[in-house]
Amino acid sequence: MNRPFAIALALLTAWFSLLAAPSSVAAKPEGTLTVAVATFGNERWLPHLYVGAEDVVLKPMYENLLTRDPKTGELAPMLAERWQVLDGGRTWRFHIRKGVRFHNGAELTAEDVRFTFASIAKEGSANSLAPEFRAIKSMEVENPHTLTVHFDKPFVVFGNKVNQGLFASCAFIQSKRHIEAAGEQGAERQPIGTGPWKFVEHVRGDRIVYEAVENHWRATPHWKRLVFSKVPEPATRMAMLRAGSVDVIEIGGEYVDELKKVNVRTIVMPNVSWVYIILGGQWPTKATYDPKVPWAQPDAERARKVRLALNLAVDKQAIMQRVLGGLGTVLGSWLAYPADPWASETLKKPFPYEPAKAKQLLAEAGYPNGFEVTMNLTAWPGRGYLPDVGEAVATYWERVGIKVKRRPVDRAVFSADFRARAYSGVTLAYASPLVAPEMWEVLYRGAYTKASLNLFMEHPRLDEFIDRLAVQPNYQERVRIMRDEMGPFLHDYIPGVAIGAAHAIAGVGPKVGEWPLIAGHMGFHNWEYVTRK
Amino acid sequence: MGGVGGSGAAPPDVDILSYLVGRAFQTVLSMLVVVSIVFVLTRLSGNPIYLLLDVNATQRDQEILTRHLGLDKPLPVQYGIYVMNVAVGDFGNSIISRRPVTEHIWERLPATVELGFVAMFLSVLIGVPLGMYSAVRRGGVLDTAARVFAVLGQSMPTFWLGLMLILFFGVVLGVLPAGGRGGLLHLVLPAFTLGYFTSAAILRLTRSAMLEVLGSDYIKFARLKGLHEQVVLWKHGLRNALLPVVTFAVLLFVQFLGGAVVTETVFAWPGLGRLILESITTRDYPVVQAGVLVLSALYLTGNLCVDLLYSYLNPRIRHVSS
Amino acid sequence: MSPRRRRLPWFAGLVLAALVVAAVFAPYLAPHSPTEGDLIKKSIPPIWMEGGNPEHPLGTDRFGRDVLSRIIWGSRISLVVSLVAIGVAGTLGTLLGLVSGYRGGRTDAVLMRLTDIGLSLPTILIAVVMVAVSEPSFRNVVLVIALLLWPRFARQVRGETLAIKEHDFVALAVVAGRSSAWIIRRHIFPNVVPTLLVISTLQVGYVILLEGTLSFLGVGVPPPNPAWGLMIADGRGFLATAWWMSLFPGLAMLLTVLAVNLMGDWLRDHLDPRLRQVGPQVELLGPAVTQPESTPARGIAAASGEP
Repeated sequence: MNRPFAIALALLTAWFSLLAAPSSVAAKPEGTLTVAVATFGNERWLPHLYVGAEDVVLKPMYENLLTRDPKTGELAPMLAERWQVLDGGRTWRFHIRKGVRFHNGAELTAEDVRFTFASIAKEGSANSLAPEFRAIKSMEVENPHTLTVHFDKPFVVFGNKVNQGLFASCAFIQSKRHIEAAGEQGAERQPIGTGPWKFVEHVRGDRIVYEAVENHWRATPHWKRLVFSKVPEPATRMAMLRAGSVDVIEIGGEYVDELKKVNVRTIVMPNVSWVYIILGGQWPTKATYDPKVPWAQPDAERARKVRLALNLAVDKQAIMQRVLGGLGTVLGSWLAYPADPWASETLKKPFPYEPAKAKQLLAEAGYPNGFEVTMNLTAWPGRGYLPDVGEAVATYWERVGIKVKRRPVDRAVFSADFRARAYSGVTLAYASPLVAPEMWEVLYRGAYTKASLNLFMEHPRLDEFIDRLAVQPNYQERVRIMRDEMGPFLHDYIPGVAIGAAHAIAGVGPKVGEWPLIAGHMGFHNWEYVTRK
Repeated sequence: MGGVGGSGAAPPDVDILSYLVGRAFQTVLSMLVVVSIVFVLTRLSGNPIYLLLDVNATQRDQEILTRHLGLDKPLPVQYGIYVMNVAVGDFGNSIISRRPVTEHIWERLPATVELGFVAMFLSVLIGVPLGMYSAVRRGGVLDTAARVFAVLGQSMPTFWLGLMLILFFGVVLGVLPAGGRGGLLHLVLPAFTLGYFTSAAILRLTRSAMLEVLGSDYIKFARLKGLHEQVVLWKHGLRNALLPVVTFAVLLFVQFLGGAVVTETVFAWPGLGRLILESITTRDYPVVQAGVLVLSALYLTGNLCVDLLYSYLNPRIRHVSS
Repeated sequence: MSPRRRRLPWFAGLVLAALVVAAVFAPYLAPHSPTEGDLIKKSIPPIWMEGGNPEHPLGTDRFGRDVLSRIIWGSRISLVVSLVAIGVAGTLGTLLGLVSGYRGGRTDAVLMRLTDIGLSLPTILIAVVMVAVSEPSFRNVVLVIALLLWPRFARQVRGETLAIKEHDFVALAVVAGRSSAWIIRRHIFPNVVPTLLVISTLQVGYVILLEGTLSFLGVGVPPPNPAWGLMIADGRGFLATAWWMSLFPGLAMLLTVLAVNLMGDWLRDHLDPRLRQVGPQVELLGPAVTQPESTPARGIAAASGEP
């Protein structure tokens, strides 16, 4: 029912067969797989306490109700062996797999799932899925292995919120009894899950050690130990991989040539984020609205000309090739991957690079001598290339007469400003990871005027689309709305500067064999399927 | 307090106890000022709750968290609470992990002490012999060469030197670990990076101290007595020149504890400096406050000890050299 | 012992002269704009390598900017950062040091404890916090560096002042009814100048490195400024494919810092006799001046501060 992922790696077949067959075939786990990552996030373990970047290091030990079929991208069973969508999306019933055990031996039941969902929805919860889980009206444990979730309004994509394969916070299923018995602090010191790896040790800011769960219900890892090492400096990560001190490194696409040059194997994780330039301040109803911002001025015609000019001034192809290492596809739309069913030919066609035309448009809009803008430069976890993209775009804009002030800001300042919508007249390079599989879901968070926050723009038309999509239970119909109505609207409106869909890479050492990945899934995952060489 | 601390060392006839008490009191006052500076700076640098909550969190979630962290109280009240807690040794909990700050600091201290100690040792190992040599062969080609070698260490950014060392010894030669903390071998590169940087200072210090001592009547007298030149140099010369070097090395060590931020980052070394740096980026006020306070307390105490040592030893040194 | 004076280090002099010429005449010397690049011309190697381009003798960086031009313009940034930061810190530190040393007593105690506090703060970490508070800009970086530097000057000038104060000419001036300000201006300050010169020179190297360190931590001079430290930090991950991006600015920085350090050493030796008068510990101040990433050697300075 969801977005299919046409780009399926050949390796995925191996993964799929493993998924289908129980773990009995797997050999005894051996050896240590060491992974160097840039950040562990906030290093919290409980569902209402982790906010984002943790997912990479938490994934090995936790599981979700659902996962994705790596071939078709459709929702597939994980901890729930099947599920039903009833009442036009108002009721979801999950049948929990029997015989799945937590690392302490206790069996997983529907109570645990209910407890997890309730924790995420709790007041003061940090989990980014909290708004979605708060839409739950009630939950019923019908029997130890059946949970029914009721909503007031149809929640047609609830399945997308309980699956594996999202970036940032996930609804990892927790043990109710363990957390209640050990307390929050205790459970964080000795966390347990149902995943193929169990917790061994956590030294804050330094390393996290997992050990393989033998005879795991789904997949017994090939490696005995999985060690995450926090190495903030990318150059050091590359050196450590070359020196053989680590086996896998997290690294940005900008280093792909560097790694190739020194004969390091790289694994490409295709289409994990949309890269675009946010043009801040397109929110006429908000207190921080500034009508003098050229691209957000009340005169819609002129504002659009400015936005188009800002697009035409930038050589997106050059940025994709030379800043992002050629790892991605230039697109002319927002929030669509090339393989998405709603990515029509029009939406895929990039805006051309025509600086002369851009200058002319600026003049027509009343800015023959350009204007001044601020370009925020902030690096995000897994997207260290963003300041480079910002710098490249700034240089292109300067060539058509716009004066660009670069403003490096760290994430704390950025987040606070973002929330306060202090970005009227400010632009920033951003890459939106797959926080939701359907593009409107992202917009629900990012642009919906009635949502809790506006990230970059608001528009009544957009709200209208989202209102319709949110209650449309038919997937094909949702695809149609996105492809034929919403996509073209955005394409015509030009909310920002579209760059394209970018891949991510990982550097891999000689001990690592095959590593099947789920397409579109940002951040490391599927450690249990990584083979030894 | 003024008269005592101001004009410097305690004159021998002044009651040493009252001097001590005065200085200790001043040190405590200094620490209070440090706490205040760091408190204000961190609060100005932004609110941590935005990194603890998703961008979509509601106003209510924000309020709950703010209240939970005690950040809703007026700043002066927060300050008062903090100072009072610190006075009784309670540094509070980390905002990010909710664990006691002291736990985090203790966790990082071994790595930091280890690195600082070896770095200091290497620094002395490079600096002292070169400094001695440079003093004895003053103005010669080798004097220049020794000094250039030492000065080179502080002529490039530490991160650059560190990366070069990693690439050469870790990747090209493959003889030393490229990063992380482990056995003794893991210490070599980061400690050298840190120690090499300061060896020029040690060299200069040894060199001038040696020149000073060698020029003194005491050494002249020793030579007149017909003592062997090597004995003069090593026994009488170095011994007397060593005091400033040793005290300097001790303070160097104290500085390495918090001053190795870049080295720790480059070598993925889980030390105190990196803890504080990362806590700054997450606006984890209690950790930053406690970390900086610990570091400056170490420095101030070290400084106090050196002062006391000098005021105790100086008369004798003077006596000897004049 | 009367030291043999070393010859002027001609090498250091030459490097520093080149630096000043590059900084002053950057617009005429640099073949290209330091900030405008063309992505199409990204990572062109230096002229002697395959694929080199005579247009860009030292190659181009990741944004297609001319490395040579950036180094030439960068000398201006290094010079301005160090001159302004040291100027501000030196003025403030000297003033406080003079007052503290001359007045003694309570004033001295308070000012010196303040200096201690300044010295006890972990430099880099405080710089990161301060830049986070104020957001990175050229001006803020300079100010932050200056703020972290002044205690070093205060410490040493105060020690010097204490010693000079003991001389007969000061006592005579007091007897003659001269005002404190007059004495400080006419008698003390001129005698402090040589020391100031030495510390300032030795600090130049430290400031240039500090700028680089701050860039590494992402709180230095903001891009696209052609600051050397920023260039080195920027290219550090591309040593296999584009080593020239960071190596050449690295060399420029190395030569400069080496030169100022050698020059500082020479100055110290040159001005030795005067420093000598003050007592053994002041001589020790010199070495204490350049320090690891962060903090100055407070220890010796502190020890000598209270002889």
